[in-house]
Amino acid sequence: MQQNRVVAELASVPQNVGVARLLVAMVAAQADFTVAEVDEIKLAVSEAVTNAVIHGYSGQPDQTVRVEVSLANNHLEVVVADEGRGIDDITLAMQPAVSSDPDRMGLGFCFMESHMDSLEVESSPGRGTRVRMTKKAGSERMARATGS
Amino acid sequence: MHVTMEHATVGANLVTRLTGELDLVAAAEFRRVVDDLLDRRKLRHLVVNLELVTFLDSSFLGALIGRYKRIHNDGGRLILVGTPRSVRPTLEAAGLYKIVTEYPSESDALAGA
Repeated sequence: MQQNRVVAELASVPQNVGVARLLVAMVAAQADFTVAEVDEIKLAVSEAVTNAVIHGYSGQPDQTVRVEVSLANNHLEVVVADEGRGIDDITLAMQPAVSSDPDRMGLGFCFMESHMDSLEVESSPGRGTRVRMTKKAGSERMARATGS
Repeated sequence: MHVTMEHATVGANLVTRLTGELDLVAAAEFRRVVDDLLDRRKLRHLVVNLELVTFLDSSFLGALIGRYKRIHNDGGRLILVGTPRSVRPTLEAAGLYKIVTEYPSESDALAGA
């Protein structure tokens, strides 16, 4: 059973969204996730880090996004945190198609929620945002097997 | 992981072949190049070949839909070719299949367009 923890402080540049995906995928690959599950984790991480870069820091490249991924007993936890502008209304922000930019779809939180087992968002205006997501390897196969 | 984009105009259609992981970085490039091409020429349909795409997130979806909106007003269609199985669920979840047409190959897409 693998235990691991990786903490990265990423400059808030778009290129580091891919770095975060790779990092989390490599830790996830140490557990019993299927390829499809790792893809889902990558998507959730991509959305969370993109939110930090684009919304949290409004595209400023000189800030820091912290990504912490830990693995224990086939249970993956990912925390993405920024010290950016924060979210005024989390409930509203998590609804699909709510986005300040017409070219963006506002689907980030939807994908995080549907692709991970749990999603917690802590944020307040001016105080940054912290997104915590978890996924247990084999949880989808269990759900399918038990018909739940 | 490296993203590549090849663009070609075939008749009045723009054919774009993409490879790699398509996120906000690829979205910005795609938006920039396609908008520039659409500014310079009247193009009808946008054919996007995703065969070698390994990942796609909502940033890139937004760029696709933004370009679709742009050509849709002139009767153009967004056509997808070779969508990999790993990427289909993301496109489906975003409701993209309500607005795109799919063909198995570029030649089918251009014949049908």
